[in-house]
Amino acid sequence: MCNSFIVKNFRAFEEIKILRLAKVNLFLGKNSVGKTALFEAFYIYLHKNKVEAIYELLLKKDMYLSHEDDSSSIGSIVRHLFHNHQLSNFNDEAIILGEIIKQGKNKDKLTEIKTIIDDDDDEILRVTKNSISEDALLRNDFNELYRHYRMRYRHRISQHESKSRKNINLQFVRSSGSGDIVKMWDNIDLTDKQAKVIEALRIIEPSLSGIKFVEQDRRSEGRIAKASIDGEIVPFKSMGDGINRILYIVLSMVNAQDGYLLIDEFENGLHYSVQEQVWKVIFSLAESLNVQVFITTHSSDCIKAFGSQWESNEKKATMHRIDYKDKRHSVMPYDFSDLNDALSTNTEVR
Amino acid sequence: MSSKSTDWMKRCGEKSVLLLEGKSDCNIVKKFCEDNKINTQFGFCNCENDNQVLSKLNALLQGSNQPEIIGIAIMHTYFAWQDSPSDPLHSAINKIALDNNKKIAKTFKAWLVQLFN
Repeated sequence: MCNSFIVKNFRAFEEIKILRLAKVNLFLGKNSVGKTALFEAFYIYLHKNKVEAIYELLLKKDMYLSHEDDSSSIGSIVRHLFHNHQLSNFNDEAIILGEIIKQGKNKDKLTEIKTIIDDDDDEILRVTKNSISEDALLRNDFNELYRHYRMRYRHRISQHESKSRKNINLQFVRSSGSGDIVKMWDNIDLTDKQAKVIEALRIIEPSLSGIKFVEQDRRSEGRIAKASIDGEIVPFKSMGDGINRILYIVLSMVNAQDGYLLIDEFENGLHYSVQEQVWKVIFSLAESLNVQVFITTHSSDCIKAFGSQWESNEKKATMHRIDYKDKRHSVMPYDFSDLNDALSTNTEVR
Repeated sequence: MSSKSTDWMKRCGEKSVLLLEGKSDCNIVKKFCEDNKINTQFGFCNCENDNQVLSKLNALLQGSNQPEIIGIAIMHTYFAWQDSPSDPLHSAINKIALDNNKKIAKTFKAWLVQLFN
């Protein structure tokens, strides 16, 4: 578990510190205060393969970096991770992601990303993790680096399958879409986790009795999720946003056992009346499957629903608001009693 | 739901805000300000009771829309001991509030003006 978190020189942040994290962690904040950047920082820090994490954040999902230009250099890609989209000065301050180090403890839990000039006068990107550094030439092609690392990690995983698997239990639920639900469903085939998913879906559709992923006629579509409701087989796509959101969230969560789950904009598609029950599922699975959960929201209904579960699990959750004021980011931690004060006096926390 | 006539007591989101423990306290301070021609550029915020005043204060201090100035007027500690103990609280306060020459009224006025203007 990640007990605290520090981010330096990353994206919009000069520095941001979160002193305490728990099993379930909720983050609030106005638009563009850096909630997504914070999640990207978590994602890179928690991901076993940093290059793959960077690829997924900057190239695969976010489309603002050109896809067509196949030969983007490492420098031109990773500069977007640095403060103000500019590579740090060589041998200067690094991007730092990690748990806050108490005095006397070692630096093992930090990830450092920096640019340096090596002995041959080459410009290098250096990624240091657990005190082990890996270098890449900034002018080299990023996609090649990505392929290289993917091969290496696949190789490692097949070499000692079960041990390494543990480390890749990191799921990122985006604010919209449905992720790779087919793959996630197959991953939990023949386990009791499928029953947990079905149970969660019954929050919205009490008469749902089963799920099936069915081959489509048109090849391009792949398999799609269908539900059995009162003996009828209904495609999930026809069933409304709420149940699809729960499917995405809970499938991701049961796929993150002994790992981490990031959920961006929890409330999307969820009517306020079901949010309390979804939180209940999240608190309970976080405990039983040992998943540390990080969630962002804009919605006061979501915060209220979260509060109802937090009350009986005070030590198991944290809540923070990210603020951006006078060109500085800061983090305001809330105790349960603070949230309770705000809710009982109708005061805006977001 | 609150009726329109008490909406002015719910201006808890203003940049300057005065927290009060109840409806009557809001009315008293408002009248006091009118009588003394004090410019009320703050929002009156009725917190219903003394516990809620503290909750509201805590919530405002941590909230996303922090006021620039927060005043808290606990009226009975301010006025009540001043007058004959047998008087009902509100009549005591009204009496003082109307009497500009009472020292406590002057002090209260000075505090309001200094804090919010």
